[in-house]
Amino acid sequence: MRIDFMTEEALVKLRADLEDNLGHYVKNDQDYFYDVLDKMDGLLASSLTCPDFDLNMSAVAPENTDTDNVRRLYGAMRGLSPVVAADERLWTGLSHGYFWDYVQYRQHDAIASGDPKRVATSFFFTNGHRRSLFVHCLSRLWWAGYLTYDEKAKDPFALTDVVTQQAFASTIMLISSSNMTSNKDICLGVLTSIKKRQLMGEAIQRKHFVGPLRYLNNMGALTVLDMLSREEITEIVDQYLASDAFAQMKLG
Amino acid sequence: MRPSNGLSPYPILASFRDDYQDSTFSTSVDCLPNAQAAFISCKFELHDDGLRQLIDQGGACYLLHLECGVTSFRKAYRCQVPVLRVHVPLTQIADSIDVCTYVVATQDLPAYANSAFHPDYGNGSFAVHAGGILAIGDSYALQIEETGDTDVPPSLIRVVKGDSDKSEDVQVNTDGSEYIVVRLNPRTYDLYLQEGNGPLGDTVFSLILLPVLQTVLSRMAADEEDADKSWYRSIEELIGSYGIAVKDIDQNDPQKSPMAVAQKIFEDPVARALEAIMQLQEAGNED
Repeated sequence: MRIDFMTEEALVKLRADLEDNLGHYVKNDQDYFYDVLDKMDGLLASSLTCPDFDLNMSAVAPENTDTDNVRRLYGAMRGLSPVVAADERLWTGLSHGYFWDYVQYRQHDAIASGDPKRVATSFFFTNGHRRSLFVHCLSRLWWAGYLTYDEKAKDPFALTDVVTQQAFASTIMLISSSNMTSNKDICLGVLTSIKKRQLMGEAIQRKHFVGPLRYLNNMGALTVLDMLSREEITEIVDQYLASDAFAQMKLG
Repeated sequence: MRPSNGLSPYPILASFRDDYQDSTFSTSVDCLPNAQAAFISCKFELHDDGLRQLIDQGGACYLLHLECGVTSFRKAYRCQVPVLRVHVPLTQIADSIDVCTYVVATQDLPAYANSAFHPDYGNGSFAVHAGGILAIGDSYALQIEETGDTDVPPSLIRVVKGDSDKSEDVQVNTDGSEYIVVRLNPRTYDLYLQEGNGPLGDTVFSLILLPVLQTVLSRMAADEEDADKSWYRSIEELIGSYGIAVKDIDQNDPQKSPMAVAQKIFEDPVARALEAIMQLQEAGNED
């Protein structure tokens, strides 16, 4: 599958014309956008390719496909560099092109609402650059895979599942909002500990992510966490999750 | 990861703290990019016998911490000598890298003591865990040049042509994260292009971009919703160079109204526009 990018000019234009084009988004009128993009040569063929793949759109509740779709999308597009994967033109191009149907499926309620802000968020980056990567329904699939993929594991997506199976949209926002998770050892160290609790039969809740990240963040004031190994991070989080402080922790 | 000047249970050597007497730790960082990578060199200048000895013995090290928020790149490079050179592929970093420098403990130090501690610490010794920060050097934000294939120069405000002559003349869209989009109805856009490069360029500029910036400044002052966006931070920095903070922008303050601030940033465009019109009229009269 060839990976096409939207041109900068097309991106600026479609963003500016969003309110005028709202009806076309709501009515699932992809042909209109193909026409617009064709007239302005708005899709650039890049030299990048990936194996052909489709996204899962089989569940009545679209969020139930997130676990499978991170595996599908990141599995196929893992060869992209982070710089390419951080480019809005890539994801806006795919949203209006190859994965139009998926965006319509996954963001059905937001698009059907006709609210310009919600439609914009479905197709474009509408927050700060980093935050947008984890909000956009396509790019977050890639970036969730990027942060959590474990090359050394038999199932490299085993720890990804810990994130995708728990209210994926908000959990990936939570994890990505803490800069320390950009360090793979720290991120996988935390997720390994949470997975251990899951395997012991514990129901994983939002506080299983909030608590350890908060605890490590406090440690980070005096300790360069990047000096610690993944196993050391897991041990720290193990001890924290077994502590009274965590047991008594309440969110909200 | 930016170091902060918070409380700590043991002395930390830093220019903004007085935990040590007569000791200093500073760093200098250079970045030389080529087409493939950013070559970053760091020189650590540590003037403290106790910490230098600890480094020489392997109980501590110099540390260079790099972080790019956009690409989730985060890496710590350690060394035992005061000069470090690393290279980071440009496929891994974009926009800017945060650089922080430290001396950190490489192992648990159950009783760290240093004769250069501030007298208030007496003869105390302190437990420091592996990874513990012993000294904080300078921090930097290195800008990474965009090497993309776009032929559109990076610009904070992008002007585009609308599709319908029935639409409003000027619409300002601040939804994007990188730049502001100004949409002009087709007739206005054509005039903007036609006249913008001529003798009335300043006039055209005043008529369109000045009110756009006013609108943007008003929105920034009214709501921090867009504060994490790149264009917001750029404008915030720009008005900061004039000694104005976003929270100072006030419609009722003649010096800090959105109009006044916009005029300051664009260096008095109204006056220049009127001068241009006057010169054109004078040139017309001579004919």
